[in-house]
This record gives sequence, structure tokens and C-alpha cells, in this order.
Amino acid sequence: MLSMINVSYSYKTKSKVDVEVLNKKSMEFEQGKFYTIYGASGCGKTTCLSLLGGLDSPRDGVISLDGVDIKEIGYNNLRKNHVSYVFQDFHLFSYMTAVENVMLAINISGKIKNKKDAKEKAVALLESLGLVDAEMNRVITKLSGGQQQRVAIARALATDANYILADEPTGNLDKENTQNIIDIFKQLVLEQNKCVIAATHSESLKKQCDVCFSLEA
Amino acid sequence: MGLFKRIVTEITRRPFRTIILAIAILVLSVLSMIGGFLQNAVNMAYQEYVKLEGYSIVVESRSGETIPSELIDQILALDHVVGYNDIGGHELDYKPVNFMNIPYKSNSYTSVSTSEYITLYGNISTSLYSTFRNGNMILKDGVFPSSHEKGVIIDSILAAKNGLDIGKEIELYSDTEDKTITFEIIGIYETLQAPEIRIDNSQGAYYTISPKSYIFCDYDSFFELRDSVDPLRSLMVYVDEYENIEIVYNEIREIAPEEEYGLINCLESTLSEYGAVVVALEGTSSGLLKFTYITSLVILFLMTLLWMRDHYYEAGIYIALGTEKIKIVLYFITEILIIALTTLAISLVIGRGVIYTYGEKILDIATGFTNSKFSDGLIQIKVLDNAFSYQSILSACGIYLLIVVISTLLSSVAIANYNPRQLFDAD
Repeated sequence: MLSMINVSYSYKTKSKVDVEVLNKKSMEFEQGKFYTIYGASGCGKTTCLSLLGGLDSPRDGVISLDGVDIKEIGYNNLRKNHVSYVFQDFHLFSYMTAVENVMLAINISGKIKNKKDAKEKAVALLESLGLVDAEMNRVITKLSGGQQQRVAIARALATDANYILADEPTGNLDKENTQNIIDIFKQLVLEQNKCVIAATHSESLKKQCDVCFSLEA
Repeated sequence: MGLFKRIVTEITRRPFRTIILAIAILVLSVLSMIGGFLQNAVNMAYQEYVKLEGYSIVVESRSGETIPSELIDQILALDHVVGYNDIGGHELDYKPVNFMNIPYKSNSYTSVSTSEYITLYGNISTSLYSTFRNGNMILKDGVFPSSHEKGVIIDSILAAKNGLDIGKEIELYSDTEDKTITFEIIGIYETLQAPEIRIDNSQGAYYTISPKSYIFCDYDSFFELRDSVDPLRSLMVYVDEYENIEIVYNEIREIAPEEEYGLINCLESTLSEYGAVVVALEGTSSGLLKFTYITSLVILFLMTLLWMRDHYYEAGIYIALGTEKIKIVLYFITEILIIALTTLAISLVIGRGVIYTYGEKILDIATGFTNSKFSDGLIQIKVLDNAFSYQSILSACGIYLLIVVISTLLSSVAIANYNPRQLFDAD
């Protein structure tokens, strides 16, 4: 279980004004469930994901994984082995192919050293997300938005992380692709016991999740 | 995609910025090589002037009286004093009787004049004579002539061509005194750099290889030949290292009263008369180097910051994927090193070409800035021949590499601590 316990977070603006984003928030995320953190822009959704993924530290409170503070686990270790990100803008390497992007994540995790095995795994992941051979070997810029987001999800799965943190994963997608991505998330939750946590202001995502945490600005 | 391929792809994706960074490194490193060349020229010139005077101090009797042996003994007992010679050049030309003169040769000259005469040199300490002190001649076999070892030492080629060796005798004839003298050969020396003599004529002064081989004998024998004794009115006292000249000068001054004896620091005197350009050039070259290195540090630091700015997105992805900060830093350093090493390899070739082709012009421009010139053309030639040094060029490249690495290290460490969101937003 990934937990956020009494977490408060604030940041300073350019004019040195303190802006409080989260105030004593607590949330728990279990494997095998699809969560959304819902709210308008500026309410702290992305901040929650940053804190859960160890990219930022809370002012107060604790983020823990299975009862262990993530500070003790180590942030790099956390992102290599336990949590993965899926971004709204995909944030893939545009000059690499789909396979190469996924292999990069495998390479960084250090779980598979052999290049051939890493490629096999990458191909398998992309196939499971509906990409065909020709698409896998295309440079990212030659893929559609929906395809790119699948590649991003495949990259997130490459490290065998149990917790997928998705920041506005359907923000740049059309209706059809949005539903495709939601279906993929549900499949991951059901079949692979993953925990998907999506920060979103999308109603359709909110309606189709298992648990929704609402935040207010 | 492997790490190296990834890095090369990142570099080639931004050709404009890569080229700008490379040009900056190239220009600045070539400038520093030129600065290094000038510094080498200064050191070479300085060494040539040191060689001219052989780290010596002249002690001269103001009254013209013979310098007492007690004073000489006191001077010899000082630390750092290695010996002395009579300052007067005791040399005479003799005609060889049972052998032939063989002139010296040098790689720098295509034609060598010759003479049937040899030059006999008489020294108190032959080993301290300038050609031996400077390493231009080295004793190969036997011993140096002295008051305890009477005889002569001859050049090895002279010996070989005439079938002479240690223990054999040579006969010399003096035209002026109309007599023949015999010497036993007690040593053979090898000439590494042929002695040069200055010729003054109506066309101006110039240097040439001595056409007469030098034969060195002990001091007493030289004057016995002439049935005369020159009183010792001025000494050339030799010091072990030129850094100790000042110390010895002051110590001699304490034991040789100023009103009775004149002292000259030969190195200082030579530099002030002929080597002012060296002193001035030293200031110019070190100024150029300092300016270049400081400017380079600032320029390259700013340029690598700009370079790193382009890598925010990339760094954001690596951080989000869980890459350790040290690996991110090493990745960026590797990228910059590839550019820097390639550029520095090119700058080595360019720098070498510039210095080789335009070395004299660069030296003229530099001395022009100092409002002085090399008064001795031969020293300028020697300086130009030897001032190019791969070592100094490689040092300049090494320093640049360090500057580039430090700049990249500072900026990439900063980036590695960012939240990927900040990096994506900034990009």
C-alpha cells in the first residue's frame, strides 16, 4: 500500500509568496485498484503524484510504501522498482523508436542486463498494449497521440512497478483514444494487480475509476 | 539504443549549438597554446642567456693587483661555489705538427670552413669552461687537465681521424714563438653542439662554427709555453645553480670589500643588456595566458550552462525513470567530453600549424607589444627552434578539458536535483 499521511505541501512564488497546495491530506492506494485524484487546475493533483513518486518532499507528513517511509527506501530506488510515471505529454525521446524508449527504462532499472532479453520484453509489452511491429520500430514522432501514450504506459510497465502514477494521461487524446487508455488501465488493475493512480480533471476518467479522491483548490 | 549512440544522437540533433561550443573551445585553446609557446620562448631565451654566462660572478681587483690566494680560498669555501677560472680568455692558435686539424660540424650548417690551426685553451678549471658547463661538450674518456693532471684533452673526431688516444702525444708549433711543444693526451671529449664564434665584418656581425678544433690544457702549462705568468686580477666564480647567484654574490661581497673589488652578477648583467626583451616578454606571455584562462572559464561556463539548458527535457525523463543523479551528471559530462576531446584534437593540429608557420611572426608581435627586440639574432633563432613543445600544448589542452568538465559538472549537478516537472516546464 502506498500511503500519504497528513501531508502538507507549499511552494514559494517568484515574489516569495508562500502558496499552500496541500494541507494535512491523507490518502491510501492499494494494488488491484484504479484511483483518480480529481480536481480543477491548481488544486494539487500533480503535486500529489510528485510526492507519491518521491520527486518532491512534503513540508509535513509522511509518504510510505508498505509502512516504510519512502525516504528510507530511497527516491531513485522507489522510481526504479516500485512506481512509474505516465505523463500527459508522454515525455518520450522523440528521436528513439517505441522499442528503444521502453528498452531505456528497462536498462535504467537494471533488471535485465542482456540487450536481447530487454528487447524481447519491450516488444512483448508494446504488443500487449496493441502496437504492431511496424509501429514499434517507428520513431516516436511518427506515431499518433494514442500510440505514443501506449508507448509511455509500456515504458511505465517496463520496470515491473506495481504503482503507476499517471498525470493527466488522457489530456492530449481524443475521445476514442481516451477510452482506449482507460481500458488499458482497467486491464492492468484487473489482470496484473497494478495500482493505477491518475491525476485528472476528466469526468470520464473519474466515472470509470474504483476510488476517487477529490481535491479543492 | 546504446549509451554512446544516444549521446552522439543528442549531439548531432543540435548542430548549431555543438558547432558554437566547439568553435569557442577551439579558439580559446589555440590562444592558450600561443600563450604557452610564448612562455616557452621566454624560458628558452632565459636558458640561453644563462648558458652564455654559465651562472657566474666576476670578481675584479679594482687596483689591478693580483687577487690574493687567501681570498680565492675563502671564495671557494663558500656553499654553492663550484670553482673558478681566470676571466681572461687564455687561448692561442697553434699549428698541429703530428696530426691535422679536423673542423667541427653542425647539422644547422651545410658548409663548414676549415683551418690548419687548432686553438689551445688554458683554464684553471676546464670542466667549468662554458662549453662543458653547458653540456655542449662532454668528457668521454680520461680526466680534465688541472694543476695535478697536466696534459690536454682533445675532440673525439679529431682523435679518431688522426688515430690519437689517451697516453699518446701531440706536437704543436707556435708561429709567434717559433717553437714546438709536446703534450700528453689525458682525455677525450665529445662535441654535442659545435662551438660558435662571432665574426664581425663590414657586413655586420654573425656567428659561425669554429673552424679550429679546441684543445684544452691546464693553466700552468699554458703559461709555461709562453714563458710568462699572467697575474690573476679577475676571476670568474661559478655557482652551482642560477638561483644561487644572488646568495653567492652577497657572500662574496662580505669577504671582498667593495672599495677593493668589483663584483658583477653576470646573468643579471647579460639580461639587462641583451635580455630586457625576455623579462618584458615574460610579463606579456603570462598576462596573455592568465587572460585566456580566466576568459575561457567564464565563457565556457556560460556556454555549458546554455548547453545544459537544452538538456532539461532529457534530464527530466532520466530523473522520472529513477536514474541516479551521479549517472545523469556522468552522462552529460561524457557528452561534453566527446565534443571537447574532438575539438581539442583538431585544435592541437591547428595550434601546431599556427605556431610552426607563424612562430616568428607571433614572437615579433609579442616583442612589439613589449617595445623591445631580441638583440641577439642567434638567440632568437634558437628560441624559435626550441620553443615549440608538445608538452606545453598538451598541458593547454588538459587545462581546457578540466575547465569544460568543471563547467558541466556544476551545471549538471544543479539539473540533477530538479523535479522533472520543473525541467519539462522550463523546456
